[in-house]
Amino acid sequence: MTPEKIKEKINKIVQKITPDISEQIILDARKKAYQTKKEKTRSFSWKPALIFAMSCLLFVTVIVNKPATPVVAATISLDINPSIEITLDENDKIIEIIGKNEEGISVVEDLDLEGYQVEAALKVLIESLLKHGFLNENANSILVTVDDEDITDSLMKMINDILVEDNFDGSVVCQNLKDNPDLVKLAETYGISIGRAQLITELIALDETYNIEELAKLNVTQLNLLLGNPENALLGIKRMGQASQKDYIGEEKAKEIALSSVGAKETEISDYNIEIDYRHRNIVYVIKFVYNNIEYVVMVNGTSGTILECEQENKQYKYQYGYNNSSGLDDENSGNNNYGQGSSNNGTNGGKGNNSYGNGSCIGQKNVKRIALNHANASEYNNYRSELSLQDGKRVYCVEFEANNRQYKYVIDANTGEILEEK
Amino acid sequence: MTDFCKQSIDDVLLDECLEEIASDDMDGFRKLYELTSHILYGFSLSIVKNEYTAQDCLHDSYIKIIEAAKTYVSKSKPLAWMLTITRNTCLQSLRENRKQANLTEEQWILQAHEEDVSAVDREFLNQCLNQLDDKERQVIMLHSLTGYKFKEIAQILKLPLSTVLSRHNRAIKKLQQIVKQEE
Repeated sequence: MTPEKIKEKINKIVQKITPDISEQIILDARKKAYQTKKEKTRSFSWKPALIFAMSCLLFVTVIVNKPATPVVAATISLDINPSIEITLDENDKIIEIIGKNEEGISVVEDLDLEGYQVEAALKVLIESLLKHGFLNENANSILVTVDDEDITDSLMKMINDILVEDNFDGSVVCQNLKDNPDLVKLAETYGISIGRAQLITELIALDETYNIEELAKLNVTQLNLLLGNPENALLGIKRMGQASQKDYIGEEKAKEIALSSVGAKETEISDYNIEIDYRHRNIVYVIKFVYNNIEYVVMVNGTSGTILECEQENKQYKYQYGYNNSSGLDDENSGNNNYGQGSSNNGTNGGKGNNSYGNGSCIGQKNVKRIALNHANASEYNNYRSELSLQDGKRVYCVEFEANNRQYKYVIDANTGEILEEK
Repeated sequence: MTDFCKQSIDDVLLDECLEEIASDDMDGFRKLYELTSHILYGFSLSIVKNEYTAQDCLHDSYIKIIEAAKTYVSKSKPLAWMLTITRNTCLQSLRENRKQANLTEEQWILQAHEEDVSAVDREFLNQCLNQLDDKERQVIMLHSLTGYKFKEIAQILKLPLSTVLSRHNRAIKKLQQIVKQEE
């Protein structure tokens, strides 16, 4: 064997036996840098006499007051997934950091962060989450639940700064933990953290059409997408950064699909609006616009780009015959709910109707949908379409959808909610 | 120098990695580790002759490299700089542990836990390294892993060029003898 071959063989064997301890080195380097910084701060900012005086004071304080174990001043829960819980003492130092689920345990098991200031610990922790791929361009959101509202803002900024420093386009959602014992039970039932349970509960309180079984399956980035919907603006929830839409087709593509489904061009529409929602067990884009004097609401599957629902209302019919609901198309929360109780007054009162169905007002798309779906006994449905039109001088909704392995068609009185025809 | 060795050293790339580390970007470190860890580990192994100590030296050397990256000034020889740090770390470790003198052959033999390495390869490396003295081993390891010229190896090991050359020639003859016996 030539000398070159021998050396090449040695090279290959050494490559194989070289251990991969790079992450351990990064972690230890960070710890060392932090300790050095702390020591420098101590040595430069405190004069010896002050240190002595403080030490005496501390000694007395410790002897008189200090309990044997550190006092928990705040608890922070981080959800990505993984779920991780951090307890802090009154000096914002880490007392304990524990993984609350399997992934959380895998992240924190090699981290020895007790005694560190929260900022240094979060930096190490977030870099570990990035390294393990738990935080990535598709799952870019961190839900932070804090039981001490005084630190909420600073904590959220701290985490956001760390993400920016790491050149990561992330999003931080911050909430204060509420004193609600039901959350613990809920979290256990669905195998989620208390923070996620609280967030989901609040989303459902805001929109009863959500259900907990479905929302519990969503990751934090998906929940964050729902929080981006103005209809889901929750009091007390703070957000920084945008939830990633990289798992989905994106707003531009969804708009393109919605417009082309009705043959409209971008220059021909007005009153355009797009929101992200969770329907049909999918993240969906809900696109609203007016084209040719017709208001369209198109729901596009966020993953596949297929159209799930398309509702349209002719503005002429809507406003000409007594519709007086300024909230727009989705008027389910207006008026009382006595639709279906048929009134002979069918909305020809010249725009002076109040929002009581059957008294000259329009029952709205959502109520029409409920009536039709309830009648068909359909909890699951596809290709839903509805249209407001005039039939024999009466405003009616023509509704079509697929459910129970068949096609349904309804004509529903737009004022009373009465089913006029069904197929 | 073989193509294999040439590919393993790209001083410009290493300088870029060190710049990234200096700006606290640990992706730069990950790249640096991927490119150089086998060189530093092999070199450590050739000095401390124990894989566990070599791993500790590898760890400590990289910590020093990360710390020193902020003040590092490129002289187009980043690997030589890193090897000097590694050598000093290993020598310090030897001074502290005094392991080298007391090491038996059994301790020196590489452990069999690396699943990627065949028993034959392990035996080959053990044989090669056991038959060489300290300086021969370091010269061979550096030449095998870095593809450096003898002049550069002489600078790193702080030896005269003629000494490096003679040790290299002597080591090669020993290794060829080992290979011949194996065949």
